[in-house]
Amino acid sequence: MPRTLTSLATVLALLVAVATAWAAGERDVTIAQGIDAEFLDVQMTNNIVTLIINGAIYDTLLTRDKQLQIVPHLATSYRLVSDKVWEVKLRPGVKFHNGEPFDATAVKFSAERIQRPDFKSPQKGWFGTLDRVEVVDPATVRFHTKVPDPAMPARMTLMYQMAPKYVAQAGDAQANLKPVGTGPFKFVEWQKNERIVVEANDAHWTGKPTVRRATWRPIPELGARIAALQTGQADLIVNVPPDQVPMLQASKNVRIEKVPSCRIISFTIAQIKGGPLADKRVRQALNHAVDMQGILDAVLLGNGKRLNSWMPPNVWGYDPSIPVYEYNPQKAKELLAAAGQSNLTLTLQAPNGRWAMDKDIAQAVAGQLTENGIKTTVKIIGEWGAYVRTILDHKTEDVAMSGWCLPSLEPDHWVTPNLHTGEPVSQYSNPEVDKLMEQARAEMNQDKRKQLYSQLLRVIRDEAPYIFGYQQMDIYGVNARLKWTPRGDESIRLTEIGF
Amino acid sequence: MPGYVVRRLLQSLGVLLGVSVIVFGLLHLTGDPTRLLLPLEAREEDVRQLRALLGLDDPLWMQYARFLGRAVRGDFGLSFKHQLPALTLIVQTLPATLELTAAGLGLALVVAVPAGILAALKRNSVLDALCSVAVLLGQAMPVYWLGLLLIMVFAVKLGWFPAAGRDGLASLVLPAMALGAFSMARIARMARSGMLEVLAQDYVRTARAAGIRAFLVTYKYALKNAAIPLVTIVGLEFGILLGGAVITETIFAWPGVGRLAVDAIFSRDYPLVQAIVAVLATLFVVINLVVDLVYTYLDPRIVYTRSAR
Repeated sequence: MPRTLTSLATVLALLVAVATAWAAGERDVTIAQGIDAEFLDVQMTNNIVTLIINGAIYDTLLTRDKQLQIVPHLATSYRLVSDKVWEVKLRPGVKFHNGEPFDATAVKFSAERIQRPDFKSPQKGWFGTLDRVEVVDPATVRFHTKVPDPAMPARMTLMYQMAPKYVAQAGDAQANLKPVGTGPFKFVEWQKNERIVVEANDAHWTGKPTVRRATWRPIPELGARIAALQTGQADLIVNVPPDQVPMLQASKNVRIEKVPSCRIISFTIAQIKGGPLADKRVRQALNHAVDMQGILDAVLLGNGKRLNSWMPPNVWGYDPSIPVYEYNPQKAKELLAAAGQSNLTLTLQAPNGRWAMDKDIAQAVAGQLTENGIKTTVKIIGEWGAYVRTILDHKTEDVAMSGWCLPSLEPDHWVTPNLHTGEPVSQYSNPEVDKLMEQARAEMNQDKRKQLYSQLLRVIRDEAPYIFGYQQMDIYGVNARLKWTPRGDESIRLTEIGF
Repeated sequence: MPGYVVRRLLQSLGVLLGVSVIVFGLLHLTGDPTRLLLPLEAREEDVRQLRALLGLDDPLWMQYARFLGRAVRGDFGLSFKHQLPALTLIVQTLPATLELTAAGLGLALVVAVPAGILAALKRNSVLDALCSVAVLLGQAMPVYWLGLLLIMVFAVKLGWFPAAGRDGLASLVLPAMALGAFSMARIARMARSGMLEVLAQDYVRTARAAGIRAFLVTYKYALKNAAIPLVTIVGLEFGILLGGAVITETIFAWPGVGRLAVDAIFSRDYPLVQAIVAVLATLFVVINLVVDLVYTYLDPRIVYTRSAR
């Protein structure tokens, strides 16, 4: 009997211990990123870190699963009624955190709010093709577009839903400070530059979230971010540089998670400046003169995958059959000689600290170009605002390091802004490429559209408006108690974290 | 005395006005903020619309006049980036910076003043040499490096303090040490030289000859006089630390006004930068005024009259 009692007592004590630990935050998570959220009014931002945090509070109409395929979310289905009309069925019984029902009126309100002239949303461009939203019934809406727009499903993955009555009563400013969405987590507090706290929304339509409470901490300094992970102050940290991986892997209770990112890095060749760079053979020669794989192995310690054109494999439309440029200095010399540019000198601009090891990679690329007869000087522009200005003013140096990833993962959003004639970012102009892009972005037949992108990406490869670089590897440091693997869209979803 | 304070305050207004003109001019030279507020791929029409909404289409003088007109009423406008009143953002973050600055300076004083006095009293001893080495190190170590070193040793290895963030007193220790180190060294050096100078004065020798206890001579007569240059430097240090907290705040993820300022500058957030500069400049001016007033307590011979201006 005493033994039974002892066992019982032990079991009870264990249960109490487990319950206490559970209550004391066993299922709480702290995530450290480099910056704070800009807004908790999700429609006021296009910043990826801010969108990640807001993704816990707000739901979108459609979303992307772990394989980045578009799947239903607040919308249960969608169909094309005609070339310019999309009909969307909404999930019934969903409520905002304040109890307000989510329905077609909310969808219309949310879409129209972004386009309000006095509302300073940087998302206006995301939905530029949208003409109007029609409420068919409380559970059905129709999106009327100005032009046939096959990217609408991808756009719907970015249509975050706002509570109309709440926003109307509280006002835009308050909606930002005390956000209300339908998401799996409810807002608790926001201490600027210190922390954002959310707690599980047990009434969420997907069920009770495993994570009970989450804190997002902005820790700008990499060393402090790594220390926070090592000391258990943070459970998940972003942007671990490749050279810190071995050290962290050796730490107790910490593991490294990597995923090929949607972010691609290349070197834009300023074709529109004219001169030698207007000659396709010169641009091709630059591609043959750089051992990109060697640079990836040496500088990024293999944490990058070479690009065959201007699109990562994460984006629908990518064609794996397109070959990467071969490192062939001899061929580069021949192409330059054929173009009459055997004594080419270039300046290459790069930022400092924008992308992993950016400055070092730029220097390595310039070094190889110089070694192979194209004397290249590196110009570092450390301040991002100044860097952006050179791009938008079309005053970049001959070659400019460029990175790209947009949360829509829509193929047109990779090519058109960067390569279409006259686009703010584009340093390239070619009527043939323009025509292909315009065709692809309007083609409503998916198979035909895919073929068009394949064709387009091949032309881009051949045209070489870039020294094609690499798909970045996103590297995270994770506390061993977390069950979590990263996504290829730079997002961190609390609902995908387990213990 | 009240006349002096009023005059000083009027002078300060001139200083603040000058600072605001310079900052306004420099900021506008750095380029258009709309380009940083919008996505890179944004169309020209979106850019134009936002420029108009932010009032950036108006001539520069008009923008400045509008800023000044509001600023005198305590309204610095909405931060471009955060869309919140600039002053609200500062009010939210300034306590953290003041807390860190006060802790850094407090720590510096607690360590540096006794160390400097001891070094002066035991001139040319081992203690004095040790102090000199510490001063050299304190002034030579970049705060960036020291901060990371402190994190590595006290947070990662020993686990005594948190590595980053602002969570209670424990989280204040490492950033205060990092921030205070440079001031500590400077104050110790000043305390030592000030004390040495005073100890060589006739009245100290007289006091000693009169048989007054060494303790009283040192702490009552000598220290009060040695404190005058110290007060100057402490006042200045407080101002320097307020501005210098930027790096410490970044390393330790301290949510202060320094980090807010850096973010604001990088995103060309004109209203926020202007407001931060105005608030910090005002603080600096006030501190200097307080320092001047403290002189009169320490040395009654100092009298502020119109001619003493």
